[in-house]
Amino acid sequence: MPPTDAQFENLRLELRRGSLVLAVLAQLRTEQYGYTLRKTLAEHGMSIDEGTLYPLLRRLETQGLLVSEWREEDKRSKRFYRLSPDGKLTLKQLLAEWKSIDSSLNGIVKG
Amino acid sequence: MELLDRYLSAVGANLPKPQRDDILRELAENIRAQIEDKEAELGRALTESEQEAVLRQHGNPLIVAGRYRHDDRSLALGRQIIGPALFPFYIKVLWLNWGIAAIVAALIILVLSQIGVPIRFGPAFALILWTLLANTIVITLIFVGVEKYCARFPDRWDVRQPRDAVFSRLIDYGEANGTPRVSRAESVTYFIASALFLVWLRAIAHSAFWTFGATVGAFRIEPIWRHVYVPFLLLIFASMIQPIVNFVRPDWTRFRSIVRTALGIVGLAILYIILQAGDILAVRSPNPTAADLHVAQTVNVWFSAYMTVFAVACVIVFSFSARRLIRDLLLRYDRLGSFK
Repeated sequence: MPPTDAQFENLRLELRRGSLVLAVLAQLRTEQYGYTLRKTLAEHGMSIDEGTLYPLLRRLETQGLLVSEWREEDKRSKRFYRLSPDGKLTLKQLLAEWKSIDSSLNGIVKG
Repeated sequence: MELLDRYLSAVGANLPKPQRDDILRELAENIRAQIEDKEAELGRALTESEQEAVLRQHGNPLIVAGRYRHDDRSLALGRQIIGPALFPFYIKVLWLNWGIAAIVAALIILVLSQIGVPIRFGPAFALILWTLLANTIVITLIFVGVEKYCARFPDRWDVRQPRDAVFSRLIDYGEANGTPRVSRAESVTYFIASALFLVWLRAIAHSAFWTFGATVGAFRIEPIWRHVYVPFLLLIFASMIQPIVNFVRPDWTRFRSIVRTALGIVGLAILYIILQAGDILAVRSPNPTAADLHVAQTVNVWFSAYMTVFAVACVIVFSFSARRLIRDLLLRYDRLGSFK
């Protein structure tokens, strides 16, 4: 029985969920605030809901992977996020893991 | 920005207090930036419906607030039945409910011990445990329903009334597009309350233990109770039909008013008969002990007080229903008049 659209959507979301953290960490090698980060991710084909991204940034900060500060830009106060030293290390490890998964999967898919 | 303020206030209501202001400030800035971006793109200010679309995109305030709670716990029985977004609220409601149930149970035990009813630890503990279990099951089922609803219809929440986020559509508050409606929450609550009362009344018929506990052997219920029992049963049964009908047809507001007014009159008549009859409990033994007499007297006083409170509640419900009915009829009369 072929999967329904809803089943496929669930599988697709599950597949993307893990890689979203990696994308956010990678993007925050340069400092950004929530809205521009979301836009940049979307431009790179990694769309993420606001309702998911903003709480995720807080969680990553609580975990010590990001640091943030309120700063003024265009006469508006915004909260800017960037990678912390721990975040840089985690990103490096996750990227290595990602490459390993990618190469394994390629091997499996190609048979 | 009134819509944005309402949205932020709805999210804030469910955020943890220590981080609330900071989170709302950031969320507000991000949403404003998004709105300004769109305005720059369109070269004009966003209309209200466009602003609504932006807020809807951010998601249901309850779910968004739940994501900020950093609580990944969920309830799973085989598969997840209450997800991480709703789980913190589920726990909050559960604790609140357990707290209230514990206070009520403690008060009941205190009152019973004051009137001389011997309290044994085993049955008292079992009663409390059973109450907590029953409450937990009901609350869990409600949250499972909300979870399923949110998963199925993530976009169904009212941007204009975001505080009611999940529940407004689910339970259908009193008004829709200006048309008065009977809230489904009210119908469900009324039905459950009546059903529980009916079960309790039926239980009394089979065993007076459910009313007077372990001391029942020494007492008997006065005949007046047998006389009013069937009418009382029919009254409660009839009162369960109205919420069923209004759950299906929330727009039948006049039906509710008519049924409740009629039931109010009948209910008050029955309560009048009960209160006129006086005592409900008598001592069985021809040579009662002072302790038994004290218990019977206290129960009768409490029962009279309870029935009086019940009568007052009936009068209030009756007057509201009657007032609503008269208002409806006058409105209808006015409308008919205006057609002439």
